[in-house]
Amino acid sequence: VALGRIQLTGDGTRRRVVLDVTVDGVEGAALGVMSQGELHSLALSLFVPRATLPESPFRFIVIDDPVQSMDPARVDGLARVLEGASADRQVLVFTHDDRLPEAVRRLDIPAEIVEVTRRDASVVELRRAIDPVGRYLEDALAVAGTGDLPAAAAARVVPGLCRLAIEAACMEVVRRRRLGRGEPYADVERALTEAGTLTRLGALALFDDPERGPVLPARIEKEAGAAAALAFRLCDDDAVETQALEPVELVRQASKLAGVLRGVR
Amino acid sequence: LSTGARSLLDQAHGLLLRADADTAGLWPRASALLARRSVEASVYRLWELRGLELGACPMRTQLICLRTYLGDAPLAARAGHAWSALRRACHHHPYELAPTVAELEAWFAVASDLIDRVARDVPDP
Repeated sequence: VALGRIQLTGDGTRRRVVLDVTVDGVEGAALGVMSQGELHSLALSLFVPRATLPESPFRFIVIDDPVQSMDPARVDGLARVLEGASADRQVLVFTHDDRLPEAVRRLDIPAEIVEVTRRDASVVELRRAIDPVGRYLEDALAVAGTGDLPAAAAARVVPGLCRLAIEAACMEVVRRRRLGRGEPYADVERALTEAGTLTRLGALALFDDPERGPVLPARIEKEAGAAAALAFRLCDDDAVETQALEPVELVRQASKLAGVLRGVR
Repeated sequence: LSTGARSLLDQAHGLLLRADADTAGLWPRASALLARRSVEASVYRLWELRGLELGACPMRTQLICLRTYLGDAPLAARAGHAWSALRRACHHHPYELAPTVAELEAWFAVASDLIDRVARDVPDP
């Protein structure tokens, strides 16, 4: 199904949009030939670009249940479109369908997934199901726990994934703190980009000051223990002897450290 | 050799294009299976090029490692996703239809990009 011209028509105070489509080259009207899932996709293909115009005063979009009756490839496509939209604005999606979170995981899209459950009298509970930190740690554990994993791969892949998890935890702390006190989004992102190294990023998260990197290891050791401080060093520097911690233990310590970092206000 | 991956993908394409009484109704899952093998062949080829013995590890581990070693993390993520979608398409699931031509072609495109990327691969310094 290919989309043709989009026409704005109407009479008096009524406005409508006419969408012409062709099906395998034969003309038809969109509503008559498209499935429910295709119509949803079509509506989204009009809504998302319109909502993300530079002229829009809103730096966010909210979409309610966009994946109903969509086929799997379309769900993947939607996940990518929303990832694109999230480059410079907040994207909030509500869904009761597990396929979108699934696509987000598989496509490695940095998104946070929150499960909402409703108790009696609409008392709502929120539970963070997965977020970038958890996903990197999950992947790291899957690799570290592989029985016959070659040492060379363990030494490179596991610290790399743990590093990504720790970075994500630091960024979360910095964003929450700085956006919370009203700093502009662009300034916060610039501070994060300019931090550069993991040590400076860690100092930005723990002390709100990237220049205090040199005192970071001592602080991590105090807050999370010596093993977590070692894990931080392993993630920070490829040159450090990675055999110092077993891969699974490295993930465990990185996970502990990420937890401590995220607890920082 | 990565021609292995390419020829598997060509066979998968062939099944899509050919309307044949013998393969009627079977081609979506059969071509998904061939494309999945093609992705796996590309991944094995990369390990071979890098001298890493990862081929015996579970595919999930290999696909996570691919993000580190391929030198193109977004493509590695897409390949991982295509592989799991193809794997799902290879099996019968109640209430789930066989993949459509458009879906299969999208996954084949990823498999093809992966073949090209691996073909250009130079081992780690």
